[in-house]
Amino acid sequence: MRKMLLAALSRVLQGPAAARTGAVSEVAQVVVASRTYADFASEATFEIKKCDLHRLEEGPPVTAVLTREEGLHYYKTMQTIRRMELKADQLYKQKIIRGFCHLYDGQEACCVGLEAAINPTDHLITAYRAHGYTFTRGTPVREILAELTGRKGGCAKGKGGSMHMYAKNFYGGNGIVGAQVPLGAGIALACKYFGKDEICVTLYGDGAANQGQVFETYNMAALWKLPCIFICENNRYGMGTSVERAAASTDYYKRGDYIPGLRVDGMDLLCVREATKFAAEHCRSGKGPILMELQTYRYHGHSMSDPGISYRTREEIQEVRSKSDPITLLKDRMVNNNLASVEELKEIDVEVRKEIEEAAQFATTDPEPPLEELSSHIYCNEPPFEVRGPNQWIRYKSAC
Amino acid sequence: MADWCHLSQGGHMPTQQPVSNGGGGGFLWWISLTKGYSCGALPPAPHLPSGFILIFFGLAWLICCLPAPCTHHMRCTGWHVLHVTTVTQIQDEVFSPLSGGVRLLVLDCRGGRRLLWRGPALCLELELMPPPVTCPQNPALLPSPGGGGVTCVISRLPPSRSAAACAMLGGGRDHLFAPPRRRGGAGVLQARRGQPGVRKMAASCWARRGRALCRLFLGPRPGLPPSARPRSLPLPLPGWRLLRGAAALRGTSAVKIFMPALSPTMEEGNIVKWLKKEGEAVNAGDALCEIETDKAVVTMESNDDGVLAKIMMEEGSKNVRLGTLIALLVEEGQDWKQVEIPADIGGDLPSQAPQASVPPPTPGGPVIPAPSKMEPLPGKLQIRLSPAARNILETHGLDPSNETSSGPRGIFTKEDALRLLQQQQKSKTTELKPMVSPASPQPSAVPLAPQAATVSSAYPRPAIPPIPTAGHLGVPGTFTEVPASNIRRVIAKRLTESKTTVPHAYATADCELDAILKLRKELAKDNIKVSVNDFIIKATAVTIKQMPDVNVTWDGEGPRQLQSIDISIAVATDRGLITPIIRDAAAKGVQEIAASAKALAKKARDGKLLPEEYQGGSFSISNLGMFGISGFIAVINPPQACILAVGRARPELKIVEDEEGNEKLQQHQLMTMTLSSDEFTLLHCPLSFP
Repeated sequence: MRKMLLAALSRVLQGPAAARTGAVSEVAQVVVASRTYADFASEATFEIKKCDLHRLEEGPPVTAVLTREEGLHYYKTMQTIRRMELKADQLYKQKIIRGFCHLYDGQEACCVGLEAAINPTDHLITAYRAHGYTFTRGTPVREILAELTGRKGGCAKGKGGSMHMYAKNFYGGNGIVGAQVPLGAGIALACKYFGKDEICVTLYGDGAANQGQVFETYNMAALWKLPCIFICENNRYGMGTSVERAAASTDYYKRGDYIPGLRVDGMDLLCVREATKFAAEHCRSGKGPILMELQTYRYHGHSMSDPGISYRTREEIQEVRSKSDPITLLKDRMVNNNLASVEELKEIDVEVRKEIEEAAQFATTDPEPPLEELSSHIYCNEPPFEVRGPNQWIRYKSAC
Repeated sequence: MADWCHLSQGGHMPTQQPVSNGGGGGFLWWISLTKGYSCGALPPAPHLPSGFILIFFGLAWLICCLPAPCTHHMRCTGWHVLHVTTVTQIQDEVFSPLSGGVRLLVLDCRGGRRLLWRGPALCLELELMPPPVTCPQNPALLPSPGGGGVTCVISRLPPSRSAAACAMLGGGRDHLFAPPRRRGGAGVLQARRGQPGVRKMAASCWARRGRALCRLFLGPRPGLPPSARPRSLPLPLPGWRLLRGAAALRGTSAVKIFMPALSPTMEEGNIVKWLKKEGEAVNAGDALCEIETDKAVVTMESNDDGVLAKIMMEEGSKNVRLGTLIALLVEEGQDWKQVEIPADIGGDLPSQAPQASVPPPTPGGPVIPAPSKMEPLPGKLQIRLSPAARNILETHGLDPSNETSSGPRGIFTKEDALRLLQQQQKSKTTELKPMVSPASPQPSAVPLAPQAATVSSAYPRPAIPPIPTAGHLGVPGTFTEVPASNIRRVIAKRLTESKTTVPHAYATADCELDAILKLRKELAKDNIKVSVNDFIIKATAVTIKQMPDVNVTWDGEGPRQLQSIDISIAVATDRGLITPIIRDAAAKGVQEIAASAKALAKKARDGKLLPEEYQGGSFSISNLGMFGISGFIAVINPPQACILAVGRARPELKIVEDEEGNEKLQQHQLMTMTLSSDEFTLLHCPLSFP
């Protein structure tokens, strides 16, 4: 209540000066004396790390402009993803979430930066580490958590789980390592075929980058000049193997050979955003696919059964956390350049925490889908038909 | 009456004496609603015994009896009680004359069964959440639109102390209730109406001999313009004031850390060591504590930044069930010493989990009542049963709560009961058909709260009265109960299983050690230190390589031949026996074997073995020679097929012939080895090799 009022007041006070000299109630004066939101800068320019280029003359710019609104939005989104993943971890360890679960914490800058640079009408497909993208593509937290706990209110109606979440223009988590890459090229082909000014962002990990189908896809995408951004999220470990032990060449941005590539600092949201804007422009101008390597890091183990410290040291993780955490980086930038105050960001944290708590509450109390749902949603527009159950005498009715 | 409905202003000492007339009982009930909500309608009026106060929150009934001892029932018609906090520890002078407080009993009224809290309290904070869906029993009671709930605080304090208490509670005092005058027959409780701008409610209750009449005030009080409020106060927003009152009572709110499932099969764990102290700063990813699961000691990491405020489970706590609160974390900068300790140690997540896993009956589908025995539940008191109906219901274990009564004045008649019975039988038959049936009946006996830690182990101990005491030593029948670690339990279980299900066959032989001892001496000259056991490992591995038939395990259906020769060596540790594995021992040199055996044995003693370092293996060796055991028989370590028991080396005289054929006595070092082998796997299922 109070926060809403403060926010409204700050908006009023940022407006024309007339409003300031006008009749401001006593209440507002008291508030303004303690909180001076009006003093914040509206935007700031930051130098970002230069990207490594492959077969490109010119790369993305080395400076980026961040406005206050954008900054707050990015901060909140990243913080929400972080807290959501930590909640998922907690629920998993309470045995409320079962089965597969791959957490995204540490890599938030990638999905938030990507989403900031593409249009909502553009397409995105990723692998099984999909919670962050599901959120940035517009699914509320409660639906994601309810999907993880397998409840009716989940975004895939409780039938998909961690690896199978979908949203508008988001083609999901895919369970098979690397199999989403050809699918992504197919989506890009559809964009080209229908002549829309849309692109497809196809993501895969450093482990999947060694898959054969990825190279087949490179070939066809380059041959047909598909508007596809291939993005390798290199978090330095594929399952339990470090990239150096798994790949003959760890320059993933050069792996496309004839496809131009960029190597981007995936822990810096602005860097990801600028590079993606550049890559999207490249695709939209009809030059064919482009490859991006986002150098990032995951804090959790590969999946929930991996404690994450048997192939890397705890010190290594702590160093990344303390030196290049994407959220801390953005926070420091905003605070140091007077885009936001520490208290304000703290308030966002509290708000996010509350939202997650409520979502978790929903995800643990929502009912499980009824048994009839088992056979529904097999095809999208078929008349109902019988589906065989676990034995031939049990039949279910399919429904759309 | 409005005199004692004083409202203190935010953060300031009340200038007036707030309460002068505390009512007949001499105590005040202090109630604060700290969060707004809206409520659709009144729940049905309860049947009240005389001499009780009824405090009505629009969603919960609290029937409180004065003076202690008393019983409190709460009937909450579909609302969840999310959280109960007792504040017995408000230690100040304010409450000290009341040590002990009043006894309260709080029941979760949704199921009507779960005891949330009982015991003495001066303050009780209830956080009530609306049901996620409209309550089936009372459809008029709507979920609040914002999804939020209500927090209310109930406390008891003497009128003489109330001013000081008000100051301490930071002005969160919204509703002051006086207990009923018992003599006068009608104790009147009245509450301050809601401040403008805040949706909240005050309740006014009249408790009369055996009857209750409740009136509900909703929404803002008309006719009080905002300008009527004093202007000089820095915090004029009522919502803020309300919340502050609760915060002062609550202490620093904390992040709860629960016992995690660190392995998929873990149900309970032991806390081996806390790596952080109370008051120490914790960063996300830092190691918090070491937890012994059913398999190994695993480090638990923190997910949050903050300060470790309170360790709820000390080092050495055994059999801590999953989901138990083990520690509290507060944010950095907050006073960790003032952390709020939740009353429900079991944590709210696990207690919700079993509820959550029970899907509510699908609307419209046949209702399959849980086959539970009838209990007089507080939520069911309002259903009046005719004697014949009661008999039928009790005989068949039916639940009448979802049925409509057709008798006069809402009496549930025999016809109703018979109809219900018929319905139930019908639904049972449909259930038997293999067609889709909605939500299978859940056993209602699901333990709602985590069970007592000691009774739930997979390997139950005999129920003998425990605990010997000093001074009674020597009395027949006394013993000391030693707590068994998870590892020991697993060992006991596995060995029993092995000895009873695997047909053991034994073969013993004496082996000459002279050559090995000689070689060992020579190696020692080159500063290569290897033990006799390392030679035995090497020799065994090489032998297995020559006889691959032995390198098999039994997987429950048939023998499996293994490709690599992995020798398990039995290591005795403080925690029990564990068998770390020397992988591919045949390919390793003796020195390499010695090095890895040493490293593994050390890790095993420290309890730091990783699961892959002790799971699997094809052949075990147990050597007790160093303890002077001349020979013994070992129990097979399933699913392996063999175990070799090695005794000590002993000198023996033997007659040998030299080159010229003369017999002479010579000393030999002999060692007794006994091979226990799985008769079935090795002999009766011979493998055929291509």
